[in-house]
Amino acid sequence: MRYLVAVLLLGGGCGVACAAAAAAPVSITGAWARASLPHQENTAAYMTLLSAGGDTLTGVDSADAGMVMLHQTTSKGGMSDMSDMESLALPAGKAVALAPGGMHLMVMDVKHPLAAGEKLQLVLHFTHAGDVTATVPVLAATATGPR
Amino acid sequence: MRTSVFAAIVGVVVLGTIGAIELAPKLAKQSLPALVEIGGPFKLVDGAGKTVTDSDFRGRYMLVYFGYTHCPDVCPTTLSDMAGALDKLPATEKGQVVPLFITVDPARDIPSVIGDYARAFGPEFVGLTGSPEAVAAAEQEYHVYAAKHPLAHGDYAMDHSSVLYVMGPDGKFLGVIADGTKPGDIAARLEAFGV
Repeated sequence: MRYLVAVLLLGGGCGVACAAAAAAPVSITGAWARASLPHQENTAAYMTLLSAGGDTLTGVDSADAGMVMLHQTTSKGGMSDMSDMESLALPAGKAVALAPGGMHLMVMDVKHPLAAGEKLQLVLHFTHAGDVTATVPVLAATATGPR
Repeated sequence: MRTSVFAAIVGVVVLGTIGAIELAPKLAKQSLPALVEIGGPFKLVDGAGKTVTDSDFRGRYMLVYFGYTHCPDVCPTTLSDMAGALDKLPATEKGQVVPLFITVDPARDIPSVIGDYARAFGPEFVGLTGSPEAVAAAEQEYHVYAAKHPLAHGDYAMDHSSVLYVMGPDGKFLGVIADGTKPGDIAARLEAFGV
């Protein structure tokens, strides 16, 4: 409810367009997942998230995988480590990129190997936007991003 | 915190070594007993279970990266960048470089796993593993830091040094290339090293 009020204030009463925006206020662009590598049950998915009003990504599920975790790779001074993130804050109007070598969705226990050309189904849970479904193209294991 | 201390130490060692190597000609007349040597002998196992040593690659450059196959982000990204860099080299130069992926997680990366994984980035990629002791010895030669890091769901990740080591045809250390370096820049660095 509080969110709807915020949308109405921001949108200045734009009727149908605002209703549509309220239904899917987080935009997901440039999404891709890395094809499964041999013997691996885990892979990574990347995308850019943008919320006009600000939101928080609290979790992700996939019908194609046992679990999806939000992870952060930190590379500093020649060291790399990976840590769990509980949630990801999306500041209002600011695009947040999940990209190789940084934040990523770790897609775990895939139910079948993901091959390039397939689609990975994800459901992203947001505090305000609710559940947003993303159909993510699977790119070659050696891909660096969508072209 | 511990990680950043290690990062600082690794950074100092690597940068200090690079500095020392650049200074070396000027100091050639002095003895340099404290010079840190990076790289050295290793005895590991390839994807077919065959024993492989560093001397098997004499006459070619080695582009060495340490990582592990359960690493879903930085390892495939870096290996993809290595593959992209090699593809940018003319065929004769590409043939002079052996890309090596050495696991820091020998418990999970048995020979067939590391071998198939490495080859997914190109037929010339060599994946290497070994006993925990043999892997630890290789890590020590390259001053690689690696440590288990539990994840929330009972799995584990490995914190690890993530740089590319360039070794010359004589097996001697030539330099490092930071991970995250774009393929074109890796290729240019390789050529600058003499490939």
